Amino acid sequence: MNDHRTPLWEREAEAALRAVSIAGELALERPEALGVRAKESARDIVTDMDLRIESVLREQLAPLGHPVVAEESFVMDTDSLPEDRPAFVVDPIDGTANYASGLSLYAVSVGLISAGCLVTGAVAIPAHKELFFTHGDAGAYLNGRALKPPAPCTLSQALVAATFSGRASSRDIRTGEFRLFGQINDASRGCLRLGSAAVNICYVAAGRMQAAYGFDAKLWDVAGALAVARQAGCAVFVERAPGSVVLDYAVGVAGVVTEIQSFMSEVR
Amino acid sequence: MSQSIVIVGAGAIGRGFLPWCFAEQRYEFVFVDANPRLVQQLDERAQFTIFMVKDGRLEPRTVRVRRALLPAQFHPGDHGDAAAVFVNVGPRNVDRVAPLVAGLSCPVISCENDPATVDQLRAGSGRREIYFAIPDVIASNTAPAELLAQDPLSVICENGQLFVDEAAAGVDCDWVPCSRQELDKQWTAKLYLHNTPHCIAAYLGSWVGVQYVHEAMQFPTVAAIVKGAMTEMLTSLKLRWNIPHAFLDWYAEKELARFSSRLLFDPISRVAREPLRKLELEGRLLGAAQICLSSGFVPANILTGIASALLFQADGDADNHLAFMRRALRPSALLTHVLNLRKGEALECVLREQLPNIVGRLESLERGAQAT
Repeated sequence: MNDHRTPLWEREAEAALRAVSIAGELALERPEALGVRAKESARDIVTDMDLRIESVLREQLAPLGHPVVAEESFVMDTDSLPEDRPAFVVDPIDGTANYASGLSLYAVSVGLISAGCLVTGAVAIPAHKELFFTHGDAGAYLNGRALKPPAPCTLSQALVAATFSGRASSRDIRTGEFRLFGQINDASRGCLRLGSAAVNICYVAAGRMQAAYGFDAKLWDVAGALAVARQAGCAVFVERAPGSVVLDYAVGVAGVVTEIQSFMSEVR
Repeated sequence: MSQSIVIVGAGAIGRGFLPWCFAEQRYEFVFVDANPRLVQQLDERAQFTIFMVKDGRLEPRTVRVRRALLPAQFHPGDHGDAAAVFVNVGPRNVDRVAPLVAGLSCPVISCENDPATVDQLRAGSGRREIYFAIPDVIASNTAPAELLAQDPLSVICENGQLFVDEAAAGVDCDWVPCSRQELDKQWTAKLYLHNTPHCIAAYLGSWVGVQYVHEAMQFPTVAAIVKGAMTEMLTSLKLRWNIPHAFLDWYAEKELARFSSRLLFDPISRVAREPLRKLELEGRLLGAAQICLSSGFVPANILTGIASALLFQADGDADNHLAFMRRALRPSALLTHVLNLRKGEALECVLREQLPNIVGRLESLERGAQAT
């Protein structure tokens, strides 16, 4: 075996890290007037900064030649995810509602999907000066320090974080999501809703929480962070139809993820 | 039958120095190490030779190995006669050792280069009888070719001392029991007058392309930077710490002589490894620079050390992804996200301003070494 080989997806990982770092710095220049507009629902919003940051991410990733699937320019009913070649999946600000309100829990995220797998990713949590990233198949890091696989625990010992879909496809599903949230909250040390799926998942990868889950998440919300969590040694469960950018996920300590999956299947 | 001493981590300190602290016939040693090849060699040979530098000569001693084990093969119940356990696995690996010592009743001594490892071991093992120790010594994890030809497990160390928390009692060992105050004094000197200039010598040594620290010190520019860093630390420690100046001066002189010793064969790959650990915020490089800045001066030589650590690269090093980060991140992002400095704080400002010049000087140092 050649120990000095170039790690897998080296150029892509480097571009992803550079992109989220530069875009994260831009996010910190938060203007007073953000230009907030609603998208799919009143709680699914976009700001002028989302658009500016998305443009920076595209510019940074363009030299690699892979298609870029980005939250703010993706048209749900007409666009599709390229499945026949690698594609960057980017979210300029995951947690825009937090960002618009001056809260610090938001993230800039880039992931690379190839043959249906999230193979590399980088996530900046700019207000906390944190950069999560993968480096080929060699590991996942927070500000250069290696992330360790999570220590085993049960759901009752776990702190969990949840995300809800931006819009509920039916009242029954929304009711089910709330019921699941309550069940997991009661069965664990607590179920949090931090307002950013990428932050949730990165915090799980860093061992600050033991699991995160979500229904009907958008791929750009979680692509970079799930790649980080997988490389950090977390168990990752993803259910996504081919070509779709919508998915259900659970990530974290293996045993806890299994328990959460069984709760999720009841809701579905 | 002899009592046993369990040594977790059969590297430079574990294999090369600690056996000198025990009467030769009194104890046998059980080594636990994650390196399967080393464990196999130690177990098969059942002994090896260590050398101590004394009066300019190498004094040999044979160490008897009762067992050598991989961590998974170590069962505390099999070592009920152990008089003490010494942990020297590197601060990053201490969490993995804690379960091994949980089932033992003898004192556990952490010889790691970080007092916080005592709390880590206590938390991970549930035991309180865990104590900090400072091996004040340079120990190599190898030896020159002629000694390795006689015994491939040979290692060299100098004539050092082991300072141990006086609460660790009941072990018949040639160590120096210390009050908390004395241990703090020794640790301050070790961290800033040994660790700081020692790693700078190693990082500069990698720039001039040599293998051992004493070879690096033969380059006048390297020696001048290392001595300059030592002077910067001495100046700030005298200004800020209540430690006798005569002790600090003696310590600094002793360390500079050590770094230049041609008998120690102190490998740069060992001293410079894991640069991100050496670049921790309160550690031997950034912490040292912060002390100097808060004492009122810019430590030009320590800044050179920080830059050389940031630029260090060696095949197989655990922190080789640092090169990847250097390529991906702007210098200002490296300072905030790798060194964890706050934008606008003094050290971030001077590094951001001076980094290009320092890198230029390191490159000319490299070119000069290649030319010779």
